[in-house]
Amino acid sequence: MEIITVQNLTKVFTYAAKEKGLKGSLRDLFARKTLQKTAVENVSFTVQKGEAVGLLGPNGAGKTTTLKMLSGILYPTSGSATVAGYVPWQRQRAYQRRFAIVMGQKSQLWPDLPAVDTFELNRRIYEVDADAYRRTLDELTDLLDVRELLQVQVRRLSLGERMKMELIAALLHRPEILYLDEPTIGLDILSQRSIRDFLKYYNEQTRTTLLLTSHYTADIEALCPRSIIINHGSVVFDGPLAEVSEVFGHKKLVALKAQRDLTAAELAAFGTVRACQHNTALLEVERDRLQPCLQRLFGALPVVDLDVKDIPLEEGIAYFYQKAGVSAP
Amino acid sequence: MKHLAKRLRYYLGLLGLFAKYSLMEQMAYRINFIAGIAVECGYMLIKLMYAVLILRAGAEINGLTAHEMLMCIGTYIMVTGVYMGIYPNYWALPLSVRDGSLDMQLTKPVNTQFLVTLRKLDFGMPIPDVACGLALIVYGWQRAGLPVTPGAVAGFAVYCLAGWFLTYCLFLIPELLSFWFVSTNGVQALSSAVFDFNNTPMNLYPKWVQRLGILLLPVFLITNFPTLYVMGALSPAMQVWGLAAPLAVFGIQRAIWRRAMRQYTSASG
Amino acid sequence: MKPYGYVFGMGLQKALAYRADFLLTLASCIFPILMQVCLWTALYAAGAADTGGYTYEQMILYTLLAGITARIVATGFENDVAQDIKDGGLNKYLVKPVDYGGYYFAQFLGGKAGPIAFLLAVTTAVLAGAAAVLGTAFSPLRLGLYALSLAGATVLNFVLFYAIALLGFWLTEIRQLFGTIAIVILVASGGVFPLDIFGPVGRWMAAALPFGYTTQFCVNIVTGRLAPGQIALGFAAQWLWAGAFAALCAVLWRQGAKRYTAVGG
Repeated sequence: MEIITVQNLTKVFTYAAKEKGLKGSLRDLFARKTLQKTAVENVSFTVQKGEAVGLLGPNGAGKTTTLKMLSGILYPTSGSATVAGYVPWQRQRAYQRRFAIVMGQKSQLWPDLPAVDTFELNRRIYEVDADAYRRTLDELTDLLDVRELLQVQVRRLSLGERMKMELIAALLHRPEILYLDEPTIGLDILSQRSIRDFLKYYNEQTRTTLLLTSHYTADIEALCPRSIIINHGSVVFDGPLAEVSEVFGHKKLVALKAQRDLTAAELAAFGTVRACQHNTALLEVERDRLQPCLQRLFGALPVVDLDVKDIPLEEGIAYFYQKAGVSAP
Repeated sequence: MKHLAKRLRYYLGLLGLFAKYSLMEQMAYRINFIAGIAVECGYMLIKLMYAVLILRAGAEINGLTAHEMLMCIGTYIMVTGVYMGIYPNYWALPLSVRDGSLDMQLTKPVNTQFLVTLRKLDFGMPIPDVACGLALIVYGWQRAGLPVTPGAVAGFAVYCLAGWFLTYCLFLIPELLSFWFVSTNGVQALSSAVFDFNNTPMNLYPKWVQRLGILLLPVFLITNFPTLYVMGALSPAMQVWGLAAPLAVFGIQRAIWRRAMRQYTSASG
Repeated sequence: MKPYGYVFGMGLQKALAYRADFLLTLASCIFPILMQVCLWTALYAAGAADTGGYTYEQMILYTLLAGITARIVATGFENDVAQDIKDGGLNKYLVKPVDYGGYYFAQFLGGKAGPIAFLLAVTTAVLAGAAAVLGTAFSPLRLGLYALSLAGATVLNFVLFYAIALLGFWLTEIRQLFGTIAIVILVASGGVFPLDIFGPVGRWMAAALPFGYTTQFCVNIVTGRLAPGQIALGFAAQWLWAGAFAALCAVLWRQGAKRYTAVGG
C-alpha cells in the first residue's frame, strides 16, 4: 500500500540579493534585486507502508527541504504530495497525529527541564491516554537504555543521549510515518550504531514507515533496503543501495603488493592506475578482462599479495552526486 | 458545545503545563528572574512619573479628574504587566523564524499560534506592574468617588480583558513581519512608540488623535475604556466598539498569521 | 587603526542595508515627541502644571531637542554583543587580533554616521524655528559646546550600554530586557522630559547619576540653562563617567571572558 506519493514536487526560495561594498549598499537603497534558488525540482517518488527509505545527496541537494515539505513545515512552489491520504502542508491535525519528524539539528526538548517533562507535554498535545503512554515510554526507554536519564536536565545529556530522547519524544504517539533528518549527525560511532539498531528494530517490529536523510552511508546501508539519491534538487537514483555500486559493476579494483618498488608506467599496461606508492598499487580493471589481466600480472611482476575488490559504495554514490542523470560511465 | 468544552479543557490543560514548566525553568535561573523584576520595576517607575505629573497638576482636563486619569494610568500599567508575562514568546518569535526553530512547533497537532505565543510564561516581570497598576486603580477609584457596584467592577474587568486581548493581537502583528523581513527592529520601535501614547490618558490629546487611536488603530481602548465605562462616559456605540474592536483586530492578526505561515522558509541552522 | 576603519565602513553599510528599519526607527521618534507636546499643552493649558522653571515654549523646545539628542546618542549594538556571548559567536573575535569593544565602537560609529548627519540637520531646523518663535539667539559658542558635548555623550552612552551588554556573561536572558532597559535609561537621561521638574530628586538624578550626561546636559547647554561653571563641571563629569564605565567594561570583559572560556562558550 502506498503511503507517500510525491509528484513533481518543486520548491524555489526567493531571497534578496545584496550587492557588495558601500556603493552596492547605496544602490540597494533604491532598487533591490531578488535571487531565486531551486532547492527541490520535480522530485517524484512513492513509498510503501512499512518501508524504510533513505534519501541521499550532497549538501544542499534538497533532501531536507523535501522532508520539510512532507511534514508540512514548508509549502511547495509546485507539485503535489499525499501522505496517508493527506496533503502535508494543509497541516491538518489528523495528519499531524500520524507522523513525527526528528531533526538532528533541531530539538523539540525543553533544554532546561528533564526530558520526561517534554514527553508529558507531548502526551497532552497528542492526547495519548495515560496507560498507552506509560507502556510506550517503558518500552522505548528500555530499548534505548535511557531509563535512568529521564530525570536529568536535557542540557546535561550527551549528544547521543539527547538524540535518543528526541526519538522517544517523537514516537510517544505511535506515528505511522517517521521522518528523520540527519538523526546521527555529530554523534560518536557507538551512539550512531545504537540509534541505527534501534531504528531498524523499530521499523521491523512496528512497520512504521521511515524516510531518512543522512550523510553517513552506513546509516542508510544498515537501515534502508531502498535509497533515493537526490542531486541538484532532483531524483537521480531510486533503488537498493547495492545497485548504486552496480554502475561500476563492470569494473573491479585490484590491490597488489610486490617484492620491489613499482612504477605507474609499468602498471599502465594492466589497467587504470589509481595509486602507486613504493611496492603497493591500486588498479582499476574491466571485469571481463580481469582473468587475463591477473595472469599477466603474476607473470610480469614479483607479486606477493593481491586482492580483488568491488568499487566502494561511496564512489558509486559520489558518481551520482556529480551526475545529474543516470547513465553508466 | 460539548466539543467546545473539551477543546477548552485541552488548551487550558496545556496552558497549565506551560506555566508549570516556565516556572521550573525560571527557578533554575534565578538571576535572570530577579534581573527581570528589577528592570520591570524601573519601567514601572517611569510610567509612574506620568501619574506624578498629572496628580501634581491636579486639574480636571477635558472631562477627567486627576484621580480618574490615575485609574487610566493604573489600567495601562496593569495590562502591559500582564503582557510582559508572555513577552518572552514575542521576543523569541523573530529569532525562531530566522534560525528555523519554529519547525518542530509547526508539526504539532495543536494550534500553532497558541503554542508559539503562550509557551513561555514569565512570572517575575508582571509582578511590579500588576501590583502597582492595581494599587493606582483602587486608589484612583476611591478618590474619584466612582461607584463600586458589582456591575461597575465587572464592566471594568471586562474592558481590561478586552484591552489585554487587544494588546496580545496588536503586538503580535509587528513580530509577524519577521516572516518577510530580516530585521523588524524598526517596525517594533514604531509600534511600541504608538503604544506609548497610552502612557497618559487620551483626554490629553487633540480630538483627531483620539479618534485615530480609538477607531483606526484602537490602542486607546486599552488605557481608557475601563475607566470611562465606570464613569458612565462610554456611549452605547463605544461600549460595543470596545468589545468589537479587539475581535476585529484579532481577525486581521489571524489573517496575517496565516499568510506568515505560508511564507515560512525554515532556515536551516 | 586600519581594521577599525574598515569596520566603521561595514557599520555604515549595515545601516544602509536596513534602510526601512532606519526610516521607521526615525519615524518612531516622532510619536513620543508628539505625545509629550500634547501632554504639556494639556497640562499648561490646565494652568496647574508644576513647571520646574520651564515656560511652555521652553518645555516644548526641550522635548524636541531631547528627543533628537537621545536619538543621536542611541545605541543598538547591545543585542549583538549579548548574542555573541550567548551563542559562542565571541570565539571568532577572541582569536582575532582586534579589541572586541573597539570593534563594536567602530561599527557603532559607522552605523551612526548617516543618522547623525540627518539628525543634525533636523536640530538646525528646530533651533532656527525656536529662534524665530522665541526670539532667542543661539550663540555659536553654545552650539559648538553642544556639538562637543554630543561627542562625549556618544562615547558615554556607548560604554554605558556596552557594560550592560557585557552583563550577558552572567545573565543568559538579558537580551529580553534590553528593550525595557533602553526606555528606562532614556527617561533617566532626561530624554523624555527634563528631570528637574521632579524637584530635588530629579535634580539629584540629573547631576549625580551618569545618565543625565548623555542627553539632558547636552540639551541644557543649547537652551542656555547652564552657567559657564556648570558647563565645565558637566564636561568633567561626562568624561569622568565615560572613563569610569570604560574601566568597568574592562573589568567586566576580563572577568566575563575568563568565565566564558572556562564554561566553553
